[in-house]
Amino acid sequence: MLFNSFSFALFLPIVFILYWFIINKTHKVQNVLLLAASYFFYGCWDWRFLFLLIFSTFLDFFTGLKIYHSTSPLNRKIWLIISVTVNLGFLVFFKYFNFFASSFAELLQSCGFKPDFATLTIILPVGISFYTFHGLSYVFDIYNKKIEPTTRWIDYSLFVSFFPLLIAGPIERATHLLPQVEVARKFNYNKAVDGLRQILWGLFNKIVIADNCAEYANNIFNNSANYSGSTLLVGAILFAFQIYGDFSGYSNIALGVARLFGFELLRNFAFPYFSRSISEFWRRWHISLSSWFKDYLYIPLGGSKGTTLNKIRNTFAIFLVSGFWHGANWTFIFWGGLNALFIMPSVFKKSSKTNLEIVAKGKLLPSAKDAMNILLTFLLTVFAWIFFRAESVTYAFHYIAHIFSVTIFQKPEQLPIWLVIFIGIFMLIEWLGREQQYAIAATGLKWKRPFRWLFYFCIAFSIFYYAGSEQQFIYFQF
Amino acid sequence: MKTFLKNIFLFFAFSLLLFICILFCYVLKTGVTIHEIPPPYLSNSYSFNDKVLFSHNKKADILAIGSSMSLNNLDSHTIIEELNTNSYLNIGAWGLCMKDCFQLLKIYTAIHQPKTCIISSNLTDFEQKMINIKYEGLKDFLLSDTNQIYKYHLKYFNARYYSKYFGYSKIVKQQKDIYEFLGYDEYGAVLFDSLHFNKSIYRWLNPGFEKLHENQYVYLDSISIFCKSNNIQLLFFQSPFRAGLYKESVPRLNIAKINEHIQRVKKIITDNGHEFVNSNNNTWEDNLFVDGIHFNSIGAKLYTEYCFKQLKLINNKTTSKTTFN
Repeated sequence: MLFNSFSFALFLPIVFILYWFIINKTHKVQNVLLLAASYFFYGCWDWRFLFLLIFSTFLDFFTGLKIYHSTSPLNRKIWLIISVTVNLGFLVFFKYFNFFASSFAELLQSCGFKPDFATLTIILPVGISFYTFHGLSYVFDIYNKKIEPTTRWIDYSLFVSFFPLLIAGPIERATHLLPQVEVARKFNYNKAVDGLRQILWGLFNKIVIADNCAEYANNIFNNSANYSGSTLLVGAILFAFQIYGDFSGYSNIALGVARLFGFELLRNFAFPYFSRSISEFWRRWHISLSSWFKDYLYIPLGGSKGTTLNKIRNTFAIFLVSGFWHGANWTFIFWGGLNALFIMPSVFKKSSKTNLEIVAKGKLLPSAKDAMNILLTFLLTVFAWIFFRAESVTYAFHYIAHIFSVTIFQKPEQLPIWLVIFIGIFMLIEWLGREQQYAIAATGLKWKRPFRWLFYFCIAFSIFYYAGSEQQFIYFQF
Repeated sequence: MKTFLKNIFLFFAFSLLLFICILFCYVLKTGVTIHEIPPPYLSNSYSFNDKVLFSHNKKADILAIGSSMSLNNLDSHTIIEELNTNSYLNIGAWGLCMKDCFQLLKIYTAIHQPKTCIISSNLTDFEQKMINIKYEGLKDFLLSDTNQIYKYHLKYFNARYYSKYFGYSKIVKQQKDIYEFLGYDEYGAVLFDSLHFNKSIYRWLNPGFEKLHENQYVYLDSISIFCKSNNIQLLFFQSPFRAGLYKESVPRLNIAKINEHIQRVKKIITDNGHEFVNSNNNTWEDNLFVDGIHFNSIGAKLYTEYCFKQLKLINNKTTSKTTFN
């Protein structure tokens, strides 16, 4: 059941009406309904993996309690190791088994051996990377005595399995979401309207921007040998907008849906393509994952403290692991490593904590220096996205080599003007709304109702006009 | 809560009203009627969707498959005379490449179990095309009842497609002097008028190909193997260029490239025991064409007759060379 599907358009209002009209009594009843809806939502993908989700939830709930109630540090550590090993064991098995098996076989082959490895046909349980990280953060926070475990199974299960965030995040923290789960939600008109507005903007990002860019980007990436360097550059730029529209669209829908039920989820995107440096970009792109790795990997490794060598090691560690988290392919690891490389100048200059505010705050236009930095950062991210999109590292290098051939000066064979105009309008709205939580959070709020509604109608109409067959969200595969 | 629901209702009513206004203006401007609804959106090619609708619930032992090289260049009556059958269907549509042909052949074979498959092709079919076909729904559609077609309109609804092609059927079914003409004969072929045709200078001078794609040869090989393993006789006709193109086109036709292509295709076809006819061995005068590669009705008839004549000669291990004009 995709967020952009007809079935979800039926599912959401039914759950909403049941939630606020029929059983809106105590938080316990509200949670039971949301948990049942979440399991139904997940079961629609593949009901067999529902058992894995429930087992994983039970494991973390149980080990969380054990860690909390253990008096000896050794016992606490043992329960933590059990939780981490089992959680990561499932993740490694379902997501990385074939990658490790085939890489090991290749290694042996290069040493002259003739291994006879069989790879297994393993279906990746949807959302496993996300709910595993939810559970791990809960156990880590209990171990680090940041939170006390909940004793209510239903509350904890809802924290892990709440349907808007179950498939592709945002990766929530128990410190943020669990307190919201443990109290009754009351209907708030402004919050609900804001939720709908964010869903609308999320659908626009996905259906109008991402899916249209995907059509051209896929064609160019799949047939790169047939196109000029300029077309390949266009393809890479279109992919940059595709992945942004796709994932920020998903996140906006998830946050909007959660808000309809009275929850505030972690923000996942903060206008990353207006970043002035790669370090700023990573504070604005997939924020919930970046902060997860920062809190549970980067800081425990020493963070930005210690020698320059330590900082370099720690930076590469989180980017390589982050790349690997995305998928079992060397392209993702290369993409992570490339981003670590891009961030090195700010590590050496100790400038990674600059540009904390959004660019040109309170102004209409950025300074020339900021504009140049935004452009440079965008081009570097586009360059890195080529590895993310490519089927193999070799293919990515061929693609890049083809871009930098003499054909880069030819007129691109694939450059749909109407799509360029749409992307232009999209980025303009994003720019004007960059100081808000999402681009249209405050657009038209002071306008008279007919004009405001006309604005929303234009967005809704473009979604209707461009909606075709349901397109999978890219991050569902992770 | 009541205010929230009331406002949602009002917004929907407001949107519906605006939508009806837009629809009304559209109908007023274009003058379309409900009878001019396009075929279900089974691909982003109107021609293909229209052909799928045409072939819906039809069965045949002999299939012609391919691009406009099959759609426009094969004369149905010659084929049914030569093969002595009435069970023939031309499922060619604009812009289909070898990759599409392979996928379609598998689907149509499952439905029709054909004995013979004819492909008329030129170099253009070995380029990369941007036709996206919804294969997962195609077989179901082809096997569905006529009164179930509306379900596929709903299932694959695409506002952009319907707004673009509403009323288009009227043009392509009636206007005989345009390249987009889709007035099928009873077997699904479209023959272009030899006397009154609105020729485009660009198309007249265009050989119809630029970059050939390596994968397309692999798909042709798959077609060839698939036909062999399913006991389907494959007849592959290499469609020609008009004679003038060898002198006029800028840049000049790359004859070496064309010959290399023909030899490669011939090997793929004949290696699996199928029949290959190269019509480029002949001179095909300009008055038989509507552009660089598409025949008019007279040209299509002569070309199809020539192909079958060559088939007979090949089977008798002889060759011939004639000039049609």
